[in-house]
Amino acid sequence: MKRFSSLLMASLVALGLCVAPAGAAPNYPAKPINMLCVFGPGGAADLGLRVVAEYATKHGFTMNVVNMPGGSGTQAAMQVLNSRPDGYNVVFGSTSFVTLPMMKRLGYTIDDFIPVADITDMPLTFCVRSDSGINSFDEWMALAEKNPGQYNYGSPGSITSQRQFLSVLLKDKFPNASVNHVPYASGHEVNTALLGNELKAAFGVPGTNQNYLKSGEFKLLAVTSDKRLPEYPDAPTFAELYGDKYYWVSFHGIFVKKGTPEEIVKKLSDIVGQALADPEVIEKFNKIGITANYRNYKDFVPFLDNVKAQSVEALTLLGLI
Amino acid sequence: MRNTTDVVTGLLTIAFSALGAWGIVLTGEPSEASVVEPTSFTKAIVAGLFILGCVQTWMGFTTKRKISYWPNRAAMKKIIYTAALFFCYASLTVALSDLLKNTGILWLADNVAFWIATFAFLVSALLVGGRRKPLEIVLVSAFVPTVIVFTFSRFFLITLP
Amino acid sequence: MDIVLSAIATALSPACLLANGVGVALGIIFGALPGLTAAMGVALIMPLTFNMPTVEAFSALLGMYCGAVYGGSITAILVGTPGTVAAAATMLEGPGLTARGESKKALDMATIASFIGGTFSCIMLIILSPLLAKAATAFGAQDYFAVAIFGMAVVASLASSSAIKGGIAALLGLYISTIGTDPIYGDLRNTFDIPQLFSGLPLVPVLVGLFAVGQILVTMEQAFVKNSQSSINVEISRKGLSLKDLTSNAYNFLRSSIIGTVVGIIPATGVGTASYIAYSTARSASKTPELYGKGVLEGIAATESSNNAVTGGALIPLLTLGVPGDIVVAIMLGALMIQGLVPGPLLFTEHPDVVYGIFTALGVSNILMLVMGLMAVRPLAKVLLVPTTILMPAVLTLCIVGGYAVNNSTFDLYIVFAFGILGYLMAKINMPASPLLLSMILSPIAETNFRRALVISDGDYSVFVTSPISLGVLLVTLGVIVRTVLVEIRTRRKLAEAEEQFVSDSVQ
Repeated sequence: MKRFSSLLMASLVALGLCVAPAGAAPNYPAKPINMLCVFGPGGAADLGLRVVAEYATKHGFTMNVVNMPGGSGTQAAMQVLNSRPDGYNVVFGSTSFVTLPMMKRLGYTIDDFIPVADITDMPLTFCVRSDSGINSFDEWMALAEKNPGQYNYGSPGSITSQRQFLSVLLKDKFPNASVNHVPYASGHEVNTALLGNELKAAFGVPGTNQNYLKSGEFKLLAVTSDKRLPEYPDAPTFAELYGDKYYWVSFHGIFVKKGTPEEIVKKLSDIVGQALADPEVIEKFNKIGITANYRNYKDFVPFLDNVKAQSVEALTLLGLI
Repeated sequence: MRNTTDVVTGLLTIAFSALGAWGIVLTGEPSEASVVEPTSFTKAIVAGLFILGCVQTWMGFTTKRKISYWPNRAAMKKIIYTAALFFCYASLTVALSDLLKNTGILWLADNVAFWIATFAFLVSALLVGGRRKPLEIVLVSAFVPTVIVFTFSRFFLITLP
Repeated sequence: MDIVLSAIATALSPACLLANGVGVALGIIFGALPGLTAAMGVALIMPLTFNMPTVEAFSALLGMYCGAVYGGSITAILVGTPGTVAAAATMLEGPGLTARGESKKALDMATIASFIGGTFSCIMLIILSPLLAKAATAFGAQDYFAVAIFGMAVVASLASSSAIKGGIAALLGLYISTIGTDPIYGDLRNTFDIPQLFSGLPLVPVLVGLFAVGQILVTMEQAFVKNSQSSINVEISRKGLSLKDLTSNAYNFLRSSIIGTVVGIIPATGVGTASYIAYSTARSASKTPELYGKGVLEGIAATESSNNAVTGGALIPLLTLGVPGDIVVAIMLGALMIQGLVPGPLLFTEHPDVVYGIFTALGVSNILMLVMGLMAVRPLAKVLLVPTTILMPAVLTLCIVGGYAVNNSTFDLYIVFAFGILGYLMAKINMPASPLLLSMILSPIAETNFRRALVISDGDYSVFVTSPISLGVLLVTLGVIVRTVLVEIRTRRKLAEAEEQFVSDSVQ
C-alpha cells in the first residue's frame, strides 16, 4: 500500500511538472510562437509582421504568423486571453485594438494586455490630385469653407485614425467648415475614388499612397508625423501648421496577456528590436512602404497612454463613446 | 391545411423577422445623423421578410396540390442523427482544442484535437450510415484525419485546432 | 521588342515553369477542397515567394489563382458540393450530369471552359491593358450601386421557379449581410452583442455550410432512402466531350468570357458574381431554358469560362493602376510591393520585362491548368467509386477543415453547422439557396455604395440618374426584370394551354 501510494504521489508530481506553470520557462521559446495578426493577408502591416517573423525564425524564435481578422480583431484578442500567459500567443494589432473596447462592451480592454514592442508607426498622409491645383492644406480648407458639403475626404474604414484626427482638427481650427468623411474598405479603394475624381482628398498612410505620390498623380498636402517625411520634403507636418497637439502615428505592435513574466516579455521585445535594426529588414520595410519604429516594452507604455487619451477625445467628439 | 411545410416555413419567416426587429432595437441609436440611417436598410428587410412570411403561410393554407417533402421517416431519423453528430464533432473540436492548448504539453497543442474529434465523428457517422465491418470503420476513421493532418501541416502550412 | 522576347523566355524557363506547375497543382487541390479558397491559397504561398525573382513568384501565384478558381468545379460536379465560391453556380448543373453518368463530359467541359475563359481574359489583358486602364476608375459609388442592383436582378431571374421562397432566401441573405459593422459610420448593428459577429458573418463558412454541408446531407438522405451502400454513380462515364459539344457552345464561351473579364475589371466584384451572371445570361439566351437545373453542358460552359475569365480581367486594373480587381489580386499587390515594384502606368515603362513576364505566366498557367485538368479526370473520377455512406462523412470532415482554415476561428465551425442545417432544410423545401448567396455578396456593395453616393453628393438623390454609367446599367436592369416577367407569363400561358389541350384531348 505504501509503495502504491508513493508511486501515485510520484506520478502525480510528474504529471504536475508536465502541466508546469508558465513562470518556469528559462528556455523560452521552446516551441513556435503564434503571432496572431488582426489584419488580413497582403496588407502593409501584415507584410511587415511577416518580415520580422522571418528574421526572428532565423534567429531562434520560430514565429508562425496567423491571420485572424475575425470580429474586427476581437477573435485574436480572445484567443490570447483564453490561453496561458506563457508568451506563445502574441497578438499584433493597431489603434483599433485600443479603441474598440472603449466603444463596445467586449469583456476586455487594452489593460488586460502587456505591450511588448512597437514594430511600425504609420503617419497619416493627406493627399489631393496633382491636377487639382491645390498646394496647401490651408488652401483646401479655404475651398471647403466656401463650398460646404462639396469637399470630402476618404479614409480606409468607417472609424479610422484619419477620421478621428481630422474631426478633432476641424473642431478646433475650422469649426465652420462642413467636410464629409467618406469611408471605404481599404486604402486601394480610397485611391481609386480619388483617381476617379469622386473625392477631393484621400487621407491614408504612406504605404498605400506611395505609388501615386511617386508617379506624381497625387500630391501630399500634409502629414501627421512629428517630422517631415524624407521622401516628401515639401509636405509640411500638421504640427508645423497648427500646433504640437496635431501629431498622430498609428502604431502597429505586439501584445501578450497580462501575467506573462517580465523575462519572457523582455526576450520577445529584444528579438523584435534586433530584427528592426537589421539592414535587410529595414530594406524590405522600405519596399513595402513602412518604417521600422521600434519601441521596447518599457517605451511602448507611455506612447500607448497618449494614444488612449487622444482617442478618448476624438471618439467622444464623434459620439461613439 | 393543405401544405403543412409551407405554412411552417411562413411562420418561421415571420418569427425570424421578429428576431430581426429585436436586433434593430438592440442596435440602438446611430452615432451621427445622416441622410440614410444605419438601420433603415435592416428595417426594410425585416418588413419584407414579414410580408413574405405572411404570404407564404397563406399560400401554404390555400394551395391545391399536396406536396410532401419528408417521404421517408427512417431516412430522416438517420439524417437527424448525422446532423447531431456533426454538431458534436464541431463542439468536440472546439472543446478539446481549448483543453489541450492549456495543458502546456507542447505536442498536444496542434492538430491533436482535430484528429481525435474527426476519428470519433467518422466512427459514429459510418455506423449510422450502415457500415458494419469494424475493421473498415476503424481504418477509414483513422486514415482520413491522418491524411488531412499530414497534407495540411506539411504542404499547406495550415495548423488545425 | 527584345525585352518582350526575353521576358517571355524568362517566364518559360524551367524554374518558372516549375513554380507555375506547382502553383496550378496546389491551386486545383485547394479549389477542390471545400472551404479553401483561391484567396487563402495565394495568401499562403505568398510568403514563400518573398525571396524568389519577380516573374517566378508571379508564376507560382498566378498558377495558384487559375488552378483554385477551376478546382472548385471538380467537387461541385462529382460530389455535389462546391469547392469555392466560384463553383457555386457550377453546382447548379454539375450533379445532374453526374447522376446521368456523364461526369466525364461535365469535368472535361469545366476544364476546357476554364481554359478558354482564362486564355481569353489573358489576351484581353495583353491587348487592352493600356486602353482599359482608366475604365476601372470611372466607376463611382452610384455606378457600383447600379451594378449591384443589376446583379440582384439576376438573382431574381434565378428564383423564377418558386418566387416567394426565392424572395425569402434573398431577403435572408440581405439580412445576414447587415450583421456587423455599419459600413459608413462604423456603428455595430444587429450583432446582438456577440463579439464574434462584429465584422459580420464570414462568407466562406456560410458558403461551406449552406452549399457543401447542406448538399452532403441531402445526398446522404437519398442514399438512406434507397437503403443502399453503393456509391453515387456506379459506372464512371466513358463518354467524353464531342466536338459538337464544344462548337455548339462557341457563342456561349465568348459571351461568358466577356462577362467574366468585365466583372474582373470592375473592382470589388469577383468570381461569384461573374459566374451567376453568365449562367443566367446563358439560360435566357438558350433555346432550351427548361432543361437548365437538370444538368446541361451549356450551364457549365457558361459558369466555368466566366469565372476563369475573371483572372485576367482582375489583373488589368492591378497592373495599370495598382487597383486590384478582386480580393485575390489584392493579395498579389502585396507581392508586387515587397518586390519593390510600383503598379501603375510607370510599371509598363520602367519594368516592361516584369509586365510581359506576368502576361506570359498567366498564359502558361492556363495551359498547365488545361493539361493537368484533363489528365486528372480519370483518377479523380475514381472518387465516385467510394460508397456514399463512407464518402460523405469524409467530405464533411473536409468541410470542418475548410470552415476553420479561413479565419483560424473555431467560432466559424458553429457557423458551418448552423448554415449546414439551414442549407439542408432549404434544399428539402425547395427554397433555392443561390439567391441567398448572391444577396450576401452583392448587398454590401449595394448598400455601402448607395449610402456612400449620398454622402458624396451631400444628400442629392439625382446622382443615380445623372451619372451615365449608373443610368445605363439601371436601364439594362429594368430591361432584364421586364424580360424575366414576360418570359414567366409566356411560360405559364404555354403550360396552361398545354394542360387545356391535354384535357380536351383526353376527353375526346
